[in-house]
Amino acid sequence: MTTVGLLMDGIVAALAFQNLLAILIGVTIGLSISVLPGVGPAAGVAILLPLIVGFEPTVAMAAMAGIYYGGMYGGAVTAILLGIPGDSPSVMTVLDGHPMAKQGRAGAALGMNVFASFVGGLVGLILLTALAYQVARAALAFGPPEMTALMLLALSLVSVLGGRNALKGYTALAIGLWLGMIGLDPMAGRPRYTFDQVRLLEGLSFPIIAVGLFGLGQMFAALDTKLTKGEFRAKYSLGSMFPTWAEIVKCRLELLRGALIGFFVGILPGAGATAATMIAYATAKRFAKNPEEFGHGAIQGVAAPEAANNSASYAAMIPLLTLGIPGSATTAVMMGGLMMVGLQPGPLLFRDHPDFIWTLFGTFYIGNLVLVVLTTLMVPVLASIIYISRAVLFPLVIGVVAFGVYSINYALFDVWIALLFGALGYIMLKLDYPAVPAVLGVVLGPMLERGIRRTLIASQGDLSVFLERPIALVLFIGTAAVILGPIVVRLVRWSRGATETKPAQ
Amino acid sequence: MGLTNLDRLFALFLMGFGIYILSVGIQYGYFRDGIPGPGFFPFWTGLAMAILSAINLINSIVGKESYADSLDREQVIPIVGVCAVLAAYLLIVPYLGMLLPVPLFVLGVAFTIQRRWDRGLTLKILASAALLPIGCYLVFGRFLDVTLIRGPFGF
Repeated sequence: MTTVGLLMDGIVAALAFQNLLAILIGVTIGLSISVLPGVGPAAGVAILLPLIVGFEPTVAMAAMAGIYYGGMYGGAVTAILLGIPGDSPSVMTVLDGHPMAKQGRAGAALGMNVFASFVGGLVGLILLTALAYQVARAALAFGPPEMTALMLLALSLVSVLGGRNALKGYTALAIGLWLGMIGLDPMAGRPRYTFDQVRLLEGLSFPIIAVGLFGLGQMFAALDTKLTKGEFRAKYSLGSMFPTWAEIVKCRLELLRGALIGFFVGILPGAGATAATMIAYATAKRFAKNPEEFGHGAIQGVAAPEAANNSASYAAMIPLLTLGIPGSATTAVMMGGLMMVGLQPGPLLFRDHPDFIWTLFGTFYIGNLVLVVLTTLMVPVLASIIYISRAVLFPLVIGVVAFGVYSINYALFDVWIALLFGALGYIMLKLDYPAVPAVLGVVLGPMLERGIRRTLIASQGDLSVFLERPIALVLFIGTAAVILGPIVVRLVRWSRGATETKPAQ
Repeated sequence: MGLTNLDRLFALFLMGFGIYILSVGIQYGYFRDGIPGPGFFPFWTGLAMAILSAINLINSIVGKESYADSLDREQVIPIVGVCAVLAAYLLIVPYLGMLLPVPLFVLGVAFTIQRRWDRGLTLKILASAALLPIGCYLVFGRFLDVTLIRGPFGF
């Protein structure tokens, strides 16, 4: 059957009641969470993880993906209306979206946000559908050396690109790798770092770590930020939120370029939607006829980043689903969720569970459409959620989190662990240790260790086995470039600085 | 406490912890019969953590990495308070069950986050304190069929 035929079957299967309900719940949670500063989609998915354990895989994934994409759509609403970005990919939308609202064009900005998100999402989805299967088929040829090299490349990219300080990124990765080692050694069966706790023999459950680091940690950090009600009240009506034909024509190139930039940046582990929006905005301004309008209410300044961040979120699915390598916080948490419901992301997923894949893609297409309607209708609600008192909201969310974590293993011990990781997540956030490498370390660490040890056992300890296969060799060179590149650049700058100051002296 | 000091303390802690991971890893067995043992991966992870944290510490001491902000009491109290209320809730659960102490938990967290409540906020908080245990019972106890810890009154 052709890709189009498989996709059509997937869309039909995705229309099942439970899938539609999961999409609806997921996107509603995603939209609601996206407007709370500091609490991003990763936290939303993490909080939902304990609840989805008993769900059917497609339903679970549709709900998690709904939160992810809902977050991408909704973050811009408060960015436009209040000048407060709900999440980091919406920061660029503030630059032109909020001035538009101040000029009395809030409806046009919101309409373009939804339209650009839809177009970006659609372009991302079409490319995802077209490329994912091909990537998975190529990846089937990967053996342990190639997968080991690929994981190392992904982990190093995420550590370097994921935060302000690459050294702290690598340190966070080491923390995650250690957390992944707790429990019985996967090959020799010896307990490691269990501190004589029987409960730790099976290791730490991934959702507990994710809920702690992302869910509780981000909520603690959100308690730091103070919101004051602004004087400015944007005016808009439902009718004003439909972009005119002239606006669409005016933004056509920004939409397309933004979507394509978003996709190809979003595919890279660690780069993510935020980087995609920045590049898309800068490119739109660079090629604009009137670049001076950017920053003062140019509608193209809303179109480009919004198309990019939605496209990027679908692109992030390619490494996750085809290679089993998540490139961002949200996809890392989603990978944990997939493993919890009994599926191992990677090339074999496409071969062994094609029905799941195509139904999942079907839910993505439906979700993209549902989000257009829901975002448009929920704008007034979303704009007011941000002002719900935290004294009301946080006890409810933390209470549900505590019950959810308990329900994974029916153990209060797990809630204690989540609380501990919440505190750790908060400290890491304050000190610029990115949590994403840590979470990726927990997910990929055990797989990386197995890959390295199996390969070395097969080669009887000969390390050159990693360099004998061309794909692995290229990937290792890439990893070395990512790790050593910044050091070499710094050394070159330092030596130039030294030679320039000598003649002056 | 200044964030710079906290950064140094955290780096120092991680450096020590990295050395601990490394040394325990060696005890697990680095290489056995020419193949990597259970301590192989911990050894390298611990070594990396110790070295990276040492560099982070040095960067902070020589001023390459510094923070202008500090963690003031106003920032820290709500976070420590929320953690303390959750910890107290977890300590009470074995005696009172999971549902009964939930209203106290809600009131405790709400009070920690915001001390002054006007009439409207008080009503909202009281309503959520009353509804959360019911909601949790319906979602977790009934819908997801989770065996919740019961208190002296059977719920």
